[in-house]
This record gives sequence, structure tokens and C-alpha cells, in this order.
Amino acid sequence: MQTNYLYKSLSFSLLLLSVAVLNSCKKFLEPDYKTQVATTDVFASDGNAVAAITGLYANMTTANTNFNGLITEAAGFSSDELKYYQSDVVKDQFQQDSVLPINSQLLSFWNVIYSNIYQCNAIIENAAASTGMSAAYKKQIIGEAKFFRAFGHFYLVNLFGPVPLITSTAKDKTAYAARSTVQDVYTQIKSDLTDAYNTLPADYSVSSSKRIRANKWAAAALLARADLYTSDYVIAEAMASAVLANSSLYSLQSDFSKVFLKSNSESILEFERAISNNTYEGSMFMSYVGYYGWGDHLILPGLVSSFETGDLRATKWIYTASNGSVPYKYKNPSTNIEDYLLLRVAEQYLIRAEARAQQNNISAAQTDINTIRNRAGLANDTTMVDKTTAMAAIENERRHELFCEWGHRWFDLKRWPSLTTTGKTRADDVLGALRTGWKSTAIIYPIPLDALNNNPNLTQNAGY
Amino acid sequence: MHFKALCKALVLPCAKRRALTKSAFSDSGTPLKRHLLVSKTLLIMRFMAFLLLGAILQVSAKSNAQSVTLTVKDAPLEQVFRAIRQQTGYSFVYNDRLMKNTKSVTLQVTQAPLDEVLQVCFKNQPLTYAIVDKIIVVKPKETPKLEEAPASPVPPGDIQGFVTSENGPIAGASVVIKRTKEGVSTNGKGEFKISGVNEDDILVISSIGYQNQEVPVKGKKGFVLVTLKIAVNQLDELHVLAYGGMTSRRLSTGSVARVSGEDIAKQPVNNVLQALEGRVAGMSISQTSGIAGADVTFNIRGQNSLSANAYTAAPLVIIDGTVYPGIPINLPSESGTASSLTNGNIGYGSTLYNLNPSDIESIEVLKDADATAIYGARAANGVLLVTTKKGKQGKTKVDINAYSGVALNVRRVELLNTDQYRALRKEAFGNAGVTPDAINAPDLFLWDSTKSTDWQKELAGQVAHTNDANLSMSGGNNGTSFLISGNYHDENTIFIDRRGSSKGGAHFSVTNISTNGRFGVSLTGMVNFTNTTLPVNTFANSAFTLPSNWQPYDTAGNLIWTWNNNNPYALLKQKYSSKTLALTSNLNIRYSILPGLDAKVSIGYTRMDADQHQIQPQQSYSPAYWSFIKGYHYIYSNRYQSLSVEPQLQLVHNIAKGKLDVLAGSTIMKNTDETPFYALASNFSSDAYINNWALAGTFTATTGYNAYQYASFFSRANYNWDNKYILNASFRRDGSSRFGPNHRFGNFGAVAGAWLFSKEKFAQNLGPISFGKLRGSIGWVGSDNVDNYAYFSNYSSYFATYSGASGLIPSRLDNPDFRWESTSKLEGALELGFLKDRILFTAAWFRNRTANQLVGYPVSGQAGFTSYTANLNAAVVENKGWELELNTINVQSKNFRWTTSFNITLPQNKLLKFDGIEKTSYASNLVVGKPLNSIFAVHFTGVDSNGKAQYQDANKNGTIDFYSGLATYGKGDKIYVGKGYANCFGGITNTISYKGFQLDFTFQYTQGLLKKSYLGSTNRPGDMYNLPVKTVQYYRDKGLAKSMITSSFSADWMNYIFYSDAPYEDASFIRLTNAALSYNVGEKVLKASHLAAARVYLQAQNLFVIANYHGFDPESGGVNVPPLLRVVGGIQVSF
Repeated sequence: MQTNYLYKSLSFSLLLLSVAVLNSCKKFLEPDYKTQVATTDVFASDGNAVAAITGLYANMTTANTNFNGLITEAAGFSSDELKYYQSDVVKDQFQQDSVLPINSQLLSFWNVIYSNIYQCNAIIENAAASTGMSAAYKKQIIGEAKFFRAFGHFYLVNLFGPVPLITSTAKDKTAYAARSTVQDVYTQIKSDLTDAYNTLPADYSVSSSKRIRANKWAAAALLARADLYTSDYVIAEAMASAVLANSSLYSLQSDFSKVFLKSNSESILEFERAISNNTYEGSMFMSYVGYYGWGDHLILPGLVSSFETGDLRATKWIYTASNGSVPYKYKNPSTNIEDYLLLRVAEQYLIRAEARAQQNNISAAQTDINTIRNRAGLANDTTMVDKTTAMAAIENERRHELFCEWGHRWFDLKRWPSLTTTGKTRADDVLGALRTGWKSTAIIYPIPLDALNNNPNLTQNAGY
Repeated sequence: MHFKALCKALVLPCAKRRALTKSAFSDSGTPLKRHLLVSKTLLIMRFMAFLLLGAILQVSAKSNAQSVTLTVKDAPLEQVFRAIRQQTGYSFVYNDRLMKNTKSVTLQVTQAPLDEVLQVCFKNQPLTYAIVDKIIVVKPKETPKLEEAPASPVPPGDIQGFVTSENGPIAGASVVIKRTKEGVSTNGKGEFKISGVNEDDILVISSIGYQNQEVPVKGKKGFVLVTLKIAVNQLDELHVLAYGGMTSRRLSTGSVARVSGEDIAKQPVNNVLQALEGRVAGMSISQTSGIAGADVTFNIRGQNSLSANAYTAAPLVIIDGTVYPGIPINLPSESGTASSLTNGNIGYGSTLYNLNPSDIESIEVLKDADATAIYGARAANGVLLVTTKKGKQGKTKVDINAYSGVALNVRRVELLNTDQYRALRKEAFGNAGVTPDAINAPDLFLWDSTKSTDWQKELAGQVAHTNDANLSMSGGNNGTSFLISGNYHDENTIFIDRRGSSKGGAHFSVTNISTNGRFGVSLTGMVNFTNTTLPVNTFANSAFTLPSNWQPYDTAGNLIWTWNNNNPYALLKQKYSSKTLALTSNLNIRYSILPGLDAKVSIGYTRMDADQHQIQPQQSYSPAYWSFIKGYHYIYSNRYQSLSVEPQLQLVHNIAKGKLDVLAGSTIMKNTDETPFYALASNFSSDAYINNWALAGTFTATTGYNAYQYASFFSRANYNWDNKYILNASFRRDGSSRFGPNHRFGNFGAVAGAWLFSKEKFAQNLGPISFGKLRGSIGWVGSDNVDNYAYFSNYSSYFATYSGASGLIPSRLDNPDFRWESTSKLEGALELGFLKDRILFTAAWFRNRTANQLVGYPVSGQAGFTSYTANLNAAVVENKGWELELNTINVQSKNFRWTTSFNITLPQNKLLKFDGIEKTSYASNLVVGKPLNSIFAVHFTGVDSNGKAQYQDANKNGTIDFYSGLATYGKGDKIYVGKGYANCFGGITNTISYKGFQLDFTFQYTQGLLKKSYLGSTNRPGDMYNLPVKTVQYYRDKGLAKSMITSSFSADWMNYIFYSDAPYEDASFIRLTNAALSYNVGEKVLKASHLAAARVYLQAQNLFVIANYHGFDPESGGVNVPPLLRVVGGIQVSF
């Protein structure tokens, strides 16, 4: 009897215990985190949100080289600028117009740029929804995030052609998004840049006068480029003019050796390099030369010989190594006197020249071209008489001012029509003559295989 | 102490024992009539008892040369007992109550034999005694009343008794009356009392791990002493189960494999997992490298998860009841940091490397639902139960074991010599149409063409040395036992720099059972350190790829960088070090509330600290290619802690002819993985300052913290009816912090049964069949093997800074909807014994199906991340197969014994179902009905007249598409060519002993899987890399020389190697994994040298491999250091 009673009371207390423990379990099982921060906390105040925008810049600069020279390199190989002196499985594919969908660099561009866009979208969505942040700071970081979302989409659309347009963090909306048209992507780019232009400050007060954060004029400068690429010449001209009108902030640097130094007058936006860190691009081009005397990334002879006699850019921005010529815009492979320039004043003159030429304002275009030529130690242009000759002069000037810089030449060749054949591009003219393996379809890279495999709604570009 | 030993220890409580003294020996109610008869019977009984006691005493006298020196005056008897115990090591077993009426003792003896002293002590006491082994059992003298009791038919009476063995008293042993099948269990001190016994009854005493014994009660005077022999029969060998449960092969309802400490001791391995290779059916183990401390991945019964991540598929590891990190604690998913420090030689490093193999008593591998379901959500991948050695009652024993030996790589590869290499290079430039010069071909123009060095021998061809020593001390008496041991092991590498690893530690175990047997406590623990110093990357890759005419240094002694900016000698300047310290401890407290009802609590705490450094001075980098690097010093510290509290109630009750054992409990567990800091110091002004972080130009640091909580209820019920029908059921409700609030809890459970049909009447004439059992189990287990916090949106800290400030980045693509993964397990087995169990055979069939797969669901990078955690509801993975085991005693005679154990596993893995797969990313490498690790490739058909490789257009669309996908889905030309796991694998172990000699050898085999040959793991022929002679010959034989031997990029080569089926080869192999020869020193020598045991041995691992595979090693595949041939010699001494 006694035993029975004890059993019963024991089972009962066990049951009670179970219920009690179950209830406390629920609390016990709440996630315990310290170094991870709930997204809502990150955007709970202005002070907290600083970490999110810092994280965006840190991710683009320190963490990866895709935004710090690899676009220049790949596009340099694909266009008529660069060749690699040794043999490399990944690099060779760009030089031979045979980029495979499995190319690791290609996947890296895709994944890294989109992960950056995700960061931007996260800032845009969460800052907007935040109740603890000030309106002013929301405006600031949303503006910057939109600038970089546009920046990311700009490079994606130029590298891969029509790409998925990503304006949300929600995986239901993004993971299986199909490719948007090039036009839709540009519409979004322009819309983002216009928002950034309207909300960002007109100076560099956010970064204590260092030109290392996107401001109103960075938005204008990229907007000018996006409009130029989409033939919206009126806005392209207006935006370039708006940037150049700030003569107290921006002017062409007269000393070629200083164009890429930190926060000089030609810089509109740059990625700051950390203490004692060089630019990646500087080391990529100049390391070998510094050590061996020969370079591994060589400028193709055609580009070297195309400079006019007396062009300071040929003498100041090209280094003659034992085995050929090497890009020498960034001069320091190992110290931190230079930052990595994203946008600079010279390009704005060239954008405005082209926009003006396309609007048949040849003389105004010529003025801009002369500004660039004069700085390079060259005499005024005498060839620009109509749109065709103006475009030839502009191409020549863009090729020599912007060589080996952020893929300008590659993108120009792709966006300009062929001078000889309708329906073809300038790339067909130039690269068709340069390389035996050239195919028109090579103007856009293949969609990376991993992306294709993981999103059945994606289609591969023609030719791959 | 052993969990389960403790469980047993407290089964019989005191309340009953009190009744025992009242009734058993003072049966005063017997009618007078029966007096004569009874008295006659009693006389006979007394006589027999006397004979028996005499026999016992004689037996003990033989081994009992103990003497006592004692001077006491009017001392209580107990005090005398204590004195005798101290002098002789003999312990006393008695009931406190008995001491009440004892008289004091006055005695003066010098060097008197123990027996005589005892006789004196007991002379005027109401007590008598018996010596069983080294235990003196004290019991009451029967009272004169009994003798005068009436001679009437003997009514069912009570029998008191004591069950012991050479290991000391046996707790939890079953004592059953053969006639009625009713029984009781012994208490913590081995005592029992059973009622309803008739005079002619026979008691059957059994305990798992011991041979059964039948004892007639006749003539025992109400008291029996039973000494059980340890089972030598494999059928009755003890198997450890979850939560202190235990079983034997005979009685198990589930699938449990056991590898004993002795089997482990025969193998000079540095990681205990290697000792399981070829010995456990259903378990596949692969060493990623032959270097000490390297990752060893293992799985039990196949890959359940679609994601082939070895770490998410890792089984649960439990050491003495406490969870142990089975996966590296520095994995990013564990440490909570975005990245991690890995080493080119050992990967993340294996946490089980910390364990000292000599500390291990046994490893049980729990496989089916029955064995694992009580671990619920953590059991889907199987469970590894590690039980460490414990002290035993008796004289203190010291054991010393030390060995020393060498290890070397015997799988060398024939590489091109300088002439062959230069010719190949020139041919490649010719084929590419490129003119070689001093810059693109320094090897042809600048390097010494007369030099030819075998870099394989130079860089990775040294003989490694290993030393190992163990010292342990154990013993115990009067309910307390202890074990303390210490160990040290070191081992260097086959690399040129000879850096390596050392490890050591201490292990202890203390157990106490209170005098009344109701209260038990045990504490076990291990502290182990490892200290590994290695180059940052492996020399092995360069060893096979460095051109033979290369030289590491210029005439001035500086490193030369002309070989693709690489110089393996730079590794000498770099340093990777990893120091770990691991503590595992478990405290068990048990209290017997009522007869058969125990309360216990188990508290486990594990901590592992790891400190890794990676030092890469500026001088170790090519100044041309890496000009901007001015020294790196990475510091990565990790701290893992796990604390669990598991209160439990256990009820053992005999119902009818059966025994019911019910366990209920709960688990509260919290694991934290911290990274106190992960720092990178760089930009040092000089390499001389690289250890001084304050002098770093740049210093960035991040921290990490990951916590994981777990709360559950579990219960298990086992009903054993006459050792014939056994039913076992378990249930667990688990809650995990890894899931969102709506999905936090999951229910898991299993039901199993066993039928020992050989005990049925019909089976008595089955000829040679001596044992037969059918068993089966069905159950559901789960998995929550996903990152912490994956269900909600958050940011984490980040290595990089911008403009001096640190930022946060989004951690992941969150998903609030995922829930428990579930695996259903089904098993059926037939177990047979032949010829008095000399031949044992088991055939088990299993089928596991995993649904609601928790995966890192891959998405296009456009989503911001390349995967997110999700359930794949549409997919079901099936692992099924057969496991056959055969154990035979081939010869057994006085001097010669030969036994063989053989196992074979025939696994079948397939994707059973995946609705809509063609619309998912899994369509790129999975097909419904095919194995998960299928190999899909474009089929190589031969060469055309131009020497270009030709392939099969499987989807018949006119072009060969290497990349798009599988022909099955019409997307590309890849077809199924084979699979990466074996058709069958297993091992065979022979043990032959002759007099003092013993020889053991184990073959391990694997058949029917594909791996890439040399082709897949070497470089493009024609580049500035050396190649195996066979690789080059292969291209020529296939007619591919023209298209593939080229010095510039060739899609031909790339597609051929990476996307076609050409480089795949059958990687079946048979390996002599282990051979051990030992000699046990004979009795005479031992006596002369005052030793208890002495043994000398020679052991070897990985003696040879038989394979048709043309690669570095059929097990480790790639160019890494393959499992090494290891030979050691050692000596073991006990006293």
C-alpha cells in the first residue's frame, strides 16, 4: 500500500515537474546571441545604423578585389588593352573570347556584386522601416545605399547584359527573379541615382572632407554615365555639367602623378585604402615590374602606339618594363598614398563631350575634348567637324584618358555601333581585327553556371 | 564511474532488507509437529553448507597467503574489519544491522594468517563469514531456534544472498527462481533477498556481461554466495547503451556495434576513429590525410542529407554520458565567425584527436532506431558512445605502456625527370604556337638543365617518428574505486621540416557506493592537450608538381620565386600552431528511493579551448607577386563549452516472468561556442616584430559567439520476459533554440522487439544451432544540424574596416519557416549461434528514410547569398542495405586459439523522391532513383583524326554541352557514370594466439566506387608543373597529346578533366590496415620479477594496399599525404 502510494505520488510529481519544465523550456530556448545583432537592433538608432553603412563600404573595399581592380583586369583582357604575359586558366579565357560559364572570376563578379546589392537593399528597407532613426540619417544612408545599388546594377548589366533586377532582400522575390531587360535595369539605375542625387549632401562633410563616401555629385556623375550609355544625352550633359560646375570642389588635376592620390581635386568618389595598404590595382600591375623589371600585365602594343607624340598620359601613366608596357596610373604597389578612384572629373568632360556631340553641339563637345587634350599636353583638336568625326575624336580621347580603368574601353566598344556594318558593334570592328577567335556574342559574358543551375528562370546568353 | 553500473548499483533498497533480518532467520511460527523432519533437513543443509563453506575457504586459502599483524583491546568488530582491510586489501560486506549485537574483540597477533585471525574474531559473535575472492561476506549464524523448529513441510521461504565476480560485487544482477520464473535484482552492493523459495528450488543468477549460473538452494541455510564468471562468449559481452542502459548481443533489441579497448590498443593510431576502420559494419571512415590531428570524417549508414557536408552529417558523440563536440569547434558555423583558420595539412582538425585511445574502455556505435531514438533529434546520423576505463575493486594496480616507432609514405609516384620534363615543355609550347622565352619559360632558359631532384623524396619523403607512453593506476575497496592515468604522445611528419604534434593528458574516475548501497556517486573526467606545429600549407602538393630541375635558393641563399611565384621552401619560414585543451567531465549521483526505484542526475560539462596561430612573414611571399604583403599574423581563439543536466527516474520491477525497466528523464543543455578573438595583425615594419601585435601596422579583430540550447524529455521502457521475448520502446520530445518559435519542438521515438526463438521448445532440436534470435525496430529520429540563429534576420561583425571604423554585415538569408528534419529508421535482423556459439552470425537489414531535409538550399548569388537554410519537403533520401557479421572461433585448445571476425556492409543510397526536381538547382547533380553522390559526366568516346577528344551527344541536340546539366533533364550531355560510395565495404580480423604469443591482423576492403585518378589531381601537361610519368603516357596512349599538351589555356583539357568521365577510375581496394604481434611474458618470469603482467609487442598500420587505382591513394584520393605505413614496438607492464 505504502509503496503504491509512493509510486503514485512520484508519478504525479514527475508530471507536475514536466509541465513546469516545459513552460520554462520555452524561455530557455529563446536564442542567445551576442556578436550577432538582430537586424531590428542595427537600425534602432542612428548610432547603431552607422555600422551597417560602414559594413557596406568595408565589404566593397577591404574584403574583396572584385571592386578593386578585377573589373579593370577582366575588361582589359576582353578589350584591346591588356594581355597576360604568363599563362593562367582563368585569365586566358578573357583574352581568348572564350569565357566559360564555369569561370571562377565570372562567378565571383556575380556573387559579390549581388551580395553588395543585398546589403544596399537591407539598408534601404530597414532604415525606411526604422522608428528610432532620425529622418536626416535615414536620408543619408538610404541615399548612399541607392547609389551603390545603382553602381552594382550598372556593372552587372554591362558585364552580363540583361540581368535580374534586385530591389528587395526577400528571397521569394529575388532568388528566382528572371532577367530584366537592359532598359528596365537602367531605368532602376537612373531612378536610384536620381534619389541619391536628391537626398545626398553636396559636400564631403560626412567623411571629414575625405572623398570616400558617395555624395550628391557622385550620384550625378554616375547618372551622367548611365544616361550617356542609354543615349539620354540631354540629362547626361546636364548631370556632367552639374558636377563640373562645382569648380571649388572639382577640377582637373594638372599634375598627372597626382590624379590618383588620396582626395585630390579630380576625385569625385574613391575607396579609402587602410593605413599602410596600397591599392590592389597598383600591386596587380606594378609588383612584377618593381621586382623583376618585367611585367605580367602588358598593354597591347596597338594601344601604346596609338598615343600621339607628346601625350603626357603615355609617358606618365605607362611604365616601360623590360618586356613591354605596363599600366602606371597607380604607382605604388605597396604604400597607401593612393586611394582607389571610382569616379573622376576627366570622365565627366568626356561624357559631356559625347552627349554634346550626339546632340550635334560639336563646338561645345570640342571645348570639352580640348580641356582633356590640353591637360595631356596636346594641342587643341582640329578634326571634329561633324558627329562622325567628333565621335572618332571622342573615342580616341576616351581610349587614352580612361585606358585600363574600370572597363571603360570594353564598355565603350560594346555600346557604340560599328562604323562599317549595321547591326554590329564597335567591338566587332576593333576586336574582330585584333583576334582571330572573336565572336559578336562575346560582348557579354556568360551567366555563371552556378547561377543558372540555381535559378531555373535564368537563361544563358547567346553564344555560350 | 560507469553510468549503467551506477544504475544497477542501487536497485535493491533498504526497506526490503530490514524485513529480511526479521523473517529469514527467525522463523518462529513453524508448528512443532514438523520439528523432526525439519531438523533432519536442516542437519543435511548444515552439513552441505559446511562442505561448501569449507570448499570456498579452501579455494580462498590457496590464493590467500595474506597475513595480519594486529593488537587490539576491546575494539568494536567493525574497527577490526577496517584494520584487516587496510592490511590485506580484502573488503568486508555486511549489513549494518548485524553489527548491533556483536561483541568487542581483544586480540594480539603477528603475521598471523588471515583465516586464523578471522576465526578468532568471529568466535563468540552471532555471525559467521565466507571469503569470496577478496571479499569477506559477513552473515548471521543460524539461530538455535531454527534447529528446534518443527518438522513440517517447508513453506516457501526467503533466501538472502550475495553476487560477486572478479571485478567485485555485481549490482543489478537478476536472481530468478527457475520454477516460478520470478525474480529480484541485486542492490548496489551485490546483495539480494528473494521470497517464495522452495527447498528444491534452483536460483538462476544472471547479469549482462557474465555467464549465467544456477544455484540449488538446498542446504544453503537461507544464504547463497554466487561468484559469476565474466562472459568470454561474444554473445554475452556487455554493450553500453544510452543513459546507462546496457545489453549484450544476446539480449539487444537494436543494432549496436562494439569495439573494445583491447581492439583499439592493438592499433598504434593517433586518432581513435582510425581504429574503427574495417571493424564496424555500416560505418565508413575516411582519413583526409596521414598527418596527426587531421580531419577524419565518418558516417554511419550512409549519407542522409542532400548536402554532402561531412560536418552536418556527423554522428552524435557522447563520452561517459556527456556530449562531446564531434565536429571541429573552429568551423565558422560553430564558432559564430564569418571565416575560420584552417590548415593546409590537417584542415579544421579532428576534435577526437584529443582523446587518448588508451583511456577508452569501449566504443559503441548505435545505429538503428531502437538504439538511437532516445537521443531524438540528435540521433539521425547515428551515435558514437565512448566509455572510458574505470577503476575496479581490489588491489591497486599499476599499468605502464610505452611504444615508439616510425611512419613513412610507401605510395610513391614516379615523376618526370628533367629530360622528360623539358621535352614535354617544349612540345607544349610548340603545340600552343608560342615561343618560349626567359619570362614565360624560366624553367627552360634559366634553370639548370643538368639537375634532377626527386622533390617527392626531398619534401615529403622523410621518415616520421612517433612515441607514446601511458601510465595508469587503479583499484578500490569498500564501495570506492578509482582510476588515474596519464599519457603522452608525439609524432612528427614526413615533411622536410619535421614539425609535428604532441599531445597528452590525464584521466580520472572515482566511484563510491554508500555502505547501505542506496547512494552512489561517480565522477569521471579527462583533461587532454594537443600541441601541433606545422607549416601553413602542405609540402605534399609541391612535392609532386615541382619541376625536377628547379632550385629553391639562388647563389646568395635567397628564395627563388620563378616557379609560378611559389617556393615551397618559403613554408619553412611560415608557422601554423594549434594548441587545444579539452576537459570532459561527468558527475553522476544516484539515490535509491524505493526498492526498484532510483532517482539520478547526470551533470556533464565539456570545455575545449583552441588557440591557433598562423604566422606568415613577408619573407615567405614572392616579393614580386605579393609585394604589398608585409607579414601576416592570424590569431584565432575558440572556446567551446557544453553544460548539461539530466535528471532521471528509473524503475525496475519484476512483473510476472518478466522484468520491466522504465527510465524517464529530461535534458537541459546549453552549448556555447565563443571566439574571444579572431585577429589579423599585418603590415609589420619588419619580420622580426611579427610576434608583437603592437607593432603591426594594421590590426583588425573580430569576436564570435554562438549559443545553442536544448531542452527535452525522454523515456524508455524495456520489458524482458524470461530472456525470450524482449520489448523496448523509447520516446523523446526535443526542443531546440535553432528553430523559430513555431517549430521549436519535435517528437521522436521507436519501438523494438526481440524473440530468442532458440529458447522455444521447438528449437531444442535444431542441431548445431545453439542460439537464434529475430529482432526488429522501427522509429523516427531527427536532426537540427543547421547554423544557430538561421531562422531570424541579423547582422554579424566583420573582419574588414572602412576608414578606421568597423562595420556589420548581414549574416545570412534568414528563413523563419524551417523545422525538424526527420529520419524514419526500420531494421530487421536474424542472429544465429552455431556449435555452442563458437560461430556467431548476424544478418541485419536496415532502411532509413530522411524527409524534410534541412539543407543549405542553394540559390543564385542574385539573392545576396548563395544558400539559405530550408527544409526540402519534396525530397526523400533512402539509405538501405545489409550488414553481415560473422565471428568464429576456428581453433580453441589449451595453447592455441584462432578467431576470425568478418563484416561486410552492402549499402544502397538513393534519392527516393524529389517532386519537381527539374525546377530546382538540385537538377544539376541529382536524379531521382540514383545515389546522392552520383557522378555525372560527359562520356568520352575517343579521339578524332586531329587528336581532339570526342564526346557522346547524350541529349542528341547536335552539340556537346559540358556545363548545362544532365541529359536526363534534356539540359546537357552529362550522364550517370558511377557513384562515389562503395557497393560494399568491411573488414576481416584474425586473432591467433599460441601460448604467450598473439597475432592480430585486419584487412579492410572497399569495392565498387569511382574516384578521379592522377589525371584529376594533377596539372595541365605543358604548364610549369611536373607530372607523374603515367599521366603523360596516358595522354599519349589516348592520342590526346596534340590537343592537351599545350602551354596556354585549353578548354579541351579542362573539359576532359573536369567534365568528362575519362579521369574516373575504380578505387576499390584491399588494405592490410593493421597487424599486431605481441608476447605475454610467462608466469614464472612474472613471479620472479614481481609483476602481474608483462607484454612486448610490434604493431603496424596500413601495411599495404592492393588496388588497380592509378592515384595517390584509393582512400584519401588526392595529392595529400596518404595514410602512412606506421610501425611501432612497445612494452606493457602491470604490477
